Amino acid sequence: MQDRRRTLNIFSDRSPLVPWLFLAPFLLFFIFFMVYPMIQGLYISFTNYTLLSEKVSTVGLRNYLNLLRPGDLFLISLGNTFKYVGLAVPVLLGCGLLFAIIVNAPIKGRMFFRTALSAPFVINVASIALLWTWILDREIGMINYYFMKLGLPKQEWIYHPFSAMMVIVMVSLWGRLGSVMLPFLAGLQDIPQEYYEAAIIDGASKWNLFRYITLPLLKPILLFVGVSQLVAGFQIFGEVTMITGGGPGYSTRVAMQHLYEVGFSWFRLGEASAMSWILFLIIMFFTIIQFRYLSGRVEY
Amino acid sequence: MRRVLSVLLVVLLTMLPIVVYGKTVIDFWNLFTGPDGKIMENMVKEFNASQDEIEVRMQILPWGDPYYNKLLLSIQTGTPPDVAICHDWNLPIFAKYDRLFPMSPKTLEKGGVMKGDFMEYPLTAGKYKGVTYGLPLDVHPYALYYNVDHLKAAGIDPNKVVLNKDNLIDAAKKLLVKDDKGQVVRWGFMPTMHGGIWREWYTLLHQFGGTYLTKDQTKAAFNSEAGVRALQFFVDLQNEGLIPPTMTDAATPFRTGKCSMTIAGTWMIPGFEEQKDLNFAITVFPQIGHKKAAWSASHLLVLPKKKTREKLEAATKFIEWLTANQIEWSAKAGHCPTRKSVINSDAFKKLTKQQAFVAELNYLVWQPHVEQAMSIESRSGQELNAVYNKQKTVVQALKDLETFVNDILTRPIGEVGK
Repeated sequence: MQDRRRTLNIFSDRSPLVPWLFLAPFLLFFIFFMVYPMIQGLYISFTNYTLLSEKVSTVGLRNYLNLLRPGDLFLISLGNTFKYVGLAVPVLLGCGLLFAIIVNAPIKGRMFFRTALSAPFVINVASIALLWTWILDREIGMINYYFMKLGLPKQEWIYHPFSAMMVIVMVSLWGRLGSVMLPFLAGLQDIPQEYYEAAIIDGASKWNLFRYITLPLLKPILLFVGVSQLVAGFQIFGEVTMITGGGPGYSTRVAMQHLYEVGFSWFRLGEASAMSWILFLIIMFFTIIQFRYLSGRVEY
Repeated sequence: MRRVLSVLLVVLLTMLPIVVYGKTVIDFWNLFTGPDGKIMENMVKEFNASQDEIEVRMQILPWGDPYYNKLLLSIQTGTPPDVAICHDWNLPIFAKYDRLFPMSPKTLEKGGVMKGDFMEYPLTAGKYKGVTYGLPLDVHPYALYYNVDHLKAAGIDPNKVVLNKDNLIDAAKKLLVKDDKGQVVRWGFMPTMHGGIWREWYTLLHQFGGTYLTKDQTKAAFNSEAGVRALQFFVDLQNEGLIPPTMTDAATPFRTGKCSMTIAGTWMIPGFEEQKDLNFAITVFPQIGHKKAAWSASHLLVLPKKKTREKLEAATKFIEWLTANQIEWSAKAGHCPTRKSVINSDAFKKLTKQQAFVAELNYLVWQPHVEQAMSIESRSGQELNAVYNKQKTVVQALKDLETFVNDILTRPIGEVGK
């Protein structure tokens, strides 16, 4: 009887084991499917491992140095990824916040706009990409069809290096707006109305309300959305692969796409692992910076 | 006790089919995710019904990289299928690293495979360093597709079409339709099937007497007069406004009548035939250079390496049946047969569209059969694409590509170089 009570005690809410029991299902998956493969990937990045032979030997930094070979596409792809992140993330955050404020205001058809703006978020990337490929095709696309009807010249859209990148940014903005707008909207609704009322009595302008109340109180949301969008931005893959295939030439080829191809199509897993670790360090670096500038207590 | 008995009963019941059947079960993997998957599924059903010794279980895996990665992993872990499809360009990876059973005359004999019935050149697709590792289920070359109605309307005799450079350019001019503002509403010719000109350029390279690699396959050989002339051909057409200014896929424009001639592979036949009001025909790849040549690939049937050889006999029997019945594969999936008995059959001769591919059988060119084939193809496509989109000059692109190819050839997969 005594023993039984003791074993049951493990499940009492004071037992130190309880939180771990709740965390266990996630942690097990996390360790086996995230942590272990990551460490294995780090090891592979220093070897000549392939799926083709059992012989594996370490090769030092060679895989990393190979990425710097003249004409290697990794640096070009990485450059394109930075270009994409630099363009897409600020635009995405800005539009997300703007639309959150708009649909938070008491406007007519508010529910409709809320749903409409966040709807693309639930569509699969592949479907989004296919949809836009058809709309933007040079010869058979819908937009060029109406351009022709209006007597305007056909546009290149995804076939010109500059506009191709813009299309990728635009499509990912369209597809991801919901995932940015919704947290902002939730954050806005969490801000107590009294602050605004008090400030208005003190004669604050609309801009000041935004600058000194809304923005500081949204900081935790901004951090969350900023970090998650930055990580997602560096890992952009679906839109590029399906809409431009990295083209024209390799002007929209991004790091994830190159990494995938080198690893799974060319079977050079060592080099691909090296790339993924470089990408990991870059994302880590920017995430730390964001944390440094945006974290800190929010005083209500 | 009761529980034990019921468990035993369940186990016995599940084993029953295996015991009663007594059939050899063969696993067959392929990557036919398009309509061709259904056709192959039917053929497998027919094979299973045709005899009672062998039961083929077919599995379709996603085309391209996912398929090849899964196939490699299955061999690595000792659980591969007994028969698999492999593109000829990926054969070197499997063959070099000893991932396949060689198809020795003795192995083929067991299943009664009539190797002598295969056309000679298609057989070379399945060879690596002189050893046969795969038999061609088909070959699928490129040829010229044209819209018969458009040609008739433009006063071109569809029976005497574009077989050389002058004819092609002349037809491209006649078939081009512009609106009153000078905008193109229909292209006479679009050489950009699947959004690229890699296979088209590769064909012309050989037509001008060049090759992609040196004979010993250790260096790039395309940065030659032939390579430049082949690429310049497309640039010239573009400068004359006869083909689109940027790389856009030709498939849908051809299907919907916004393009009159294009170059495509055998596999486009079923899709185009589905299209109402599209009256099309096929003729051999136009001869632009001084030689005939046409790009081609092949779906090879291979025997992934396993610990035991016990199912090899059944596997080769299946391969024999499948290739002997290519007519169904050709009629419905469009691909060109490789066996003399099929090509010479009356049933095949009725398939008028497929005849153009048979006419090319003597001068097909395979992509380089080296283990770096995928990286070479991918990078070539990008460099050619860059020229087509005017981001690079012909000379610059070929030089950049040469640097890449020469570097990657010194580094087989798994070797990182110095």
